Amino acid sequence: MAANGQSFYELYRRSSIGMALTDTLDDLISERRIEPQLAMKILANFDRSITEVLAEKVKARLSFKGHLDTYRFCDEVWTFLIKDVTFKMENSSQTVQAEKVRIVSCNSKRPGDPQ
Amino acid sequence: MSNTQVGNVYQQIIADVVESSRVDFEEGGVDDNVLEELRLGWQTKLSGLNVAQFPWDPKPEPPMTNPPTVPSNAGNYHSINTPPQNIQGQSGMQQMQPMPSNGNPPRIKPEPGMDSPPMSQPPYQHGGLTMPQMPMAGGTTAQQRAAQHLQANYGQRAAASINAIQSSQQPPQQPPTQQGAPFHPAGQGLTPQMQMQMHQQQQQQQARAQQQAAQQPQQMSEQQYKNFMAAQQAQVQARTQAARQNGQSGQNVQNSQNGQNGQNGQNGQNGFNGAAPPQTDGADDVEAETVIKQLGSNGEEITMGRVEIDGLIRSKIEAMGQSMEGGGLMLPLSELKKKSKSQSSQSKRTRTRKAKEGTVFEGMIQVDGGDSDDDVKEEHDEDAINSDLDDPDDGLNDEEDEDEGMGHIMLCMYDKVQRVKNKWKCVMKDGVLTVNGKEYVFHKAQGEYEW
Repeated sequence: MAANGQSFYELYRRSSIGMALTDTLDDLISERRIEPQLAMKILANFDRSITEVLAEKVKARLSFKGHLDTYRFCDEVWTFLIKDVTFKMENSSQTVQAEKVRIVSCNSKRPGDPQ
Repeated sequence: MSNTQVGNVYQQIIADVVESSRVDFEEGGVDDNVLEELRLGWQTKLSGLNVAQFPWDPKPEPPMTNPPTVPSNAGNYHSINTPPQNIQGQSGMQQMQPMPSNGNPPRIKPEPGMDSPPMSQPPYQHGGLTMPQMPMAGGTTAQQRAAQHLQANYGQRAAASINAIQSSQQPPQQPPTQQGAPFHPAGQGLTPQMQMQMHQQQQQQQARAQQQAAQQPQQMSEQQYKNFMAAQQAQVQARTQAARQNGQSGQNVQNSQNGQNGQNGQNGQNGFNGAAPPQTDGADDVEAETVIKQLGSNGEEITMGRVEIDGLIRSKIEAMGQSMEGGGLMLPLSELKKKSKSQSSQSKRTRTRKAKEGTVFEGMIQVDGGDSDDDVKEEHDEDAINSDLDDPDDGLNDEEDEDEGMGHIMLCMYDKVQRVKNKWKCVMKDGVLTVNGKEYVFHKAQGEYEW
């Protein structure tokens, strides 16, 4: 996805905010209010925007522990399935537990790299 | 971090995307309103996901789990849905009275232990036996239920009471079916003998009624009397036709018919040949609505009214259903028991019909649906190859499940992924974590887990 000569991952489209945007765009397209090409541009804007905002505005840290059930490394993308996982938020004593969590992780080195 | 930051971060993303898309909208010649609509729709959908408290939600902070959309929707459901249901129910009852042959009799909640609410039998099952108009069908609900109750508790002993209840609400001209039904709940049972009995009974009752009627004329004016007799004659005709069509041997019917005619004598003929006075009771609907003619088995032409045709189609369909289900093999167990217990509980017709419609009445537990589903699943599993690759415990399959809906998922970028033997250490950054229905954002995350 080329925008301003830079490419951004599309993986955040699977987040709740990305899904909400995709749904809304789908609605508009099916109502013939916008063209699909315009929707693609908006999604590209979203890819860039969320990457930038997460990198610049968010300072929070967390740590997590669990049992690795499945791992996979394909096309520079790590996928982990972790079971009995506990997340610890750094600036609060809050912990969150989950039976399992799936991690989809792209290489941080690549975006913006001129290759 | 907590997920309180999520709202602000997402708002910023939305604003950023909207601003940067404005140019694209202009280039595409799309109105700014659409962009605004996009923003609102996006925010609404995000609120609906309920993953965090968002700044655009008008609600105050504490109840994070309650974005305003959910309660307002729920409220609408109530206000919109419930009242029309009531109205529909009422109108359904009202419609019933003028349209007895529409095949949807009002469903009265059966009394516990009662299997044969007369009203649940479609009126045209009495079909050609009676005039299609069921006087005060909806209006005498309570009365009918009372009669049922008596019948159930005391059987034939209660006959007198039931009679009293019903005759108190009915004009004397209408005894046959209204009284016949409670006396013979099994009258719809398909054995020809029973039908015969039913017919004879009705004929007798009718004869009685006409005797009564014949004594009345002295008090009537000439014109009234003519009307009355014409109506009765029409009823008689309708019954005769129905009897013939049902394959009844003409003998009994004809005999009683002749007897009646004799009783009625000249007056009856006069009324019939008269100037066709206006019909007020609608008793000859069957005759008036002759739609089609059928050749009987004996080559005789049988005139069929709407009601007869309905009955014919119904019986054909039921015969098909009967042959499909192998004569009750697939009936729910509870129904089978009832059937063997007593034919009088309910007519076979009605039962199969209910089963077809999937209408579950009290005491009829739907058991075959679930069972057959299980069977299907089992068969499906047996067909499987059963190799290890099909093992649903496989982690990969679990992952596939996660794809649907919002599972527990962390979307991020990795700085470092290290492994020593079975110990893994990862450093992630710039991630979005969705877990337990809440969303979190983080700049950096460290994970340690063993395989």
